[in-house]
Amino acid sequence: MKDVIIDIKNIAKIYHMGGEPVYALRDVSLQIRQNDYIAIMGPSGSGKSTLMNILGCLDTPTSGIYRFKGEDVNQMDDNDLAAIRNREIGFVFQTFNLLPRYSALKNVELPLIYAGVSSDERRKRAEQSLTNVGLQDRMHHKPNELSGGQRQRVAVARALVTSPSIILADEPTGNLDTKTGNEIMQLFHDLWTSGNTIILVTHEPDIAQHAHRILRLRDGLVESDAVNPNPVYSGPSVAST
Amino acid sequence: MALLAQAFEGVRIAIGALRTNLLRTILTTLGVVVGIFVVVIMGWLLQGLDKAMNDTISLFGNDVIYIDKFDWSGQVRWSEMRNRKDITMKQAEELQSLMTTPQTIAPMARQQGETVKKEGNKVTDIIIIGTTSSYAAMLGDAVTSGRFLSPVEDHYRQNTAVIGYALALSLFPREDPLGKTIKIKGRSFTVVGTLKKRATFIFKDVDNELYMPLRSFLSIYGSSTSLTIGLKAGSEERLADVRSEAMGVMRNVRNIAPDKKSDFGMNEAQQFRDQIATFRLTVWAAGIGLTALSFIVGVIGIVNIMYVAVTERTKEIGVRKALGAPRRSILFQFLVEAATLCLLGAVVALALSSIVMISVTSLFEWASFLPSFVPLHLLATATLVSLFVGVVAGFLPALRASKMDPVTALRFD
Repeated sequence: MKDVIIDIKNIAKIYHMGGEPVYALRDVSLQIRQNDYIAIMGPSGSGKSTLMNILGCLDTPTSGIYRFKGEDVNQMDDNDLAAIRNREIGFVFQTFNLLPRYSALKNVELPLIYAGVSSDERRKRAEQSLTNVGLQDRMHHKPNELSGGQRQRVAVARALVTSPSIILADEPTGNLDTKTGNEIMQLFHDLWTSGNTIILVTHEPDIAQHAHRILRLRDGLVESDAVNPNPVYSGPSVAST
Repeated sequence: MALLAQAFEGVRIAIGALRTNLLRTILTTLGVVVGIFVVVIMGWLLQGLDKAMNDTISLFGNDVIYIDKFDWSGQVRWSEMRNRKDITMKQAEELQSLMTTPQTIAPMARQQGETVKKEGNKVTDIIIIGTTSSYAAMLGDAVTSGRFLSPVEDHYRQNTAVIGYALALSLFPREDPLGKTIKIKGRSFTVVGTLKKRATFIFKDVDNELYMPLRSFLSIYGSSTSLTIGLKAGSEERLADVRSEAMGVMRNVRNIAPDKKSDFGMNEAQQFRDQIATFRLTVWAAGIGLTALSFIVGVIGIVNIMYVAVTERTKEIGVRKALGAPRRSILFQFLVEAATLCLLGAVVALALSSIVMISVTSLFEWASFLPSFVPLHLLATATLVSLFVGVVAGFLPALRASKMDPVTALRFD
């Protein structure tokens, strides 16, 4: 059995809006192991985003237990959470969230600055990471000089540069056309093949079909959590466009 | 290491922000620019004043007392002093023979607005001073060529002269004055020495002085002038002894009854220190007021622009937090940014004040007592003050940035 990375038991998240409690998550339990490829699905309002924020250590649950590699996340303060995000989690966002004034290389270096990596080492690792996603020729371009697919690949390179335990992708193809979206999904497949653990948050069934396990949320509860018998594989990755 | 990388990044971000919002940045840093400018200019004036004061004190000698009919401090009424009896040669000689504590005693007589001639050349508005060879001790190393008056010249009432720097330059622009003949009131004098440049901001005329033996002076101008008697103590420690002895002896010589006020002034360089101190205080007060005002404006400007910057970059803060930036990094980034803004303000202010200093000192002769460049300690002060202001002004906005919730910040558009 592979190592458990994320272990969530009976977590709930309650917001208060105008004095009224709003249950974003009611009771969710979940285990994610090394080299899992899981899609979290659900309609809007299902608690999908809340769960993603908690899994990504951007937020903490109101109740329940969250252990990340055995450590109790609920006990952590802001700075501990920042350190966990920095070391263990690679985020890929729907809107890419690259810093517009920075080149691709600088964007990819950013997490390493907070990890305290020396500048030579930062550069080396960022270059390697960009090469791995096929952007060795676009390193010094700024985000607005890149296509949507290229931007998302920069974001993937940034997510991978710290060698995190988990890649957490939130609607990674939401802002891309179908062809480019498939290329990004192919990239995730390659990452999975090389041993990475991937959490894919999406509301698109087509995209979710790429994952090997699909968890469906409804009204803050797990509706189903099952192995995907036939994950989609859309051919070998095209390294550059 | 990480801190240094973040500091560089903060500086880069600040310069980037400055470039994209040039006008906004100029307007908001204006207060800091004015504040630093005032601090630097004030420091510059004070430094000039201090130098002028020290020069003046060393001109008069910090261990010298001048007994004169007049009090030089301006604290005694003119009408009262005007009616005092003159200090005569006889009194001076009596004082000289009675006093034991001074190292040197030199009587002096003074005549202003005189004309000194040389063939084909004349200089007006010259101060003629008649004194003895002992006055050399009070001039210190001021005699640059030749020598001061000798005791023999004193005694035999010889017509020799020692001339000040400016006078020497006007009379003998292209030749060595030593041994040359000049004319005063139709009499010929031989120049035996010249003095170095000694004028200060407060005493501009000393370079237009001419020294001649006291007896020669008295034979020209008559013995009706009131004398000044210079008493050199030899050291500042002995000044008090000399002061009290001089007071007693002089009252005795002038036959002043024990219940009467002294009818002479005992003047010391210290008095100029007091006068300048008042002026110095005025500059300070005006400067501090202006500085405080402009820094308040400056801080408000920086606080404002930093709040705007934090709001504008909420998304960026969210991204940085998601990528693992701890609170202190975000705080530090915005503090560095605010400090950089202020530092840029300081650079502008230093450039402006340099222009002012160079123009003022090169355009106006009266300003020659002021340094013609930004003194090093002011450079350091300006830098530190601007960094401090930046950190103070940037603190609250930076704190707000550092405490942002990453989820909310990421959702911001």
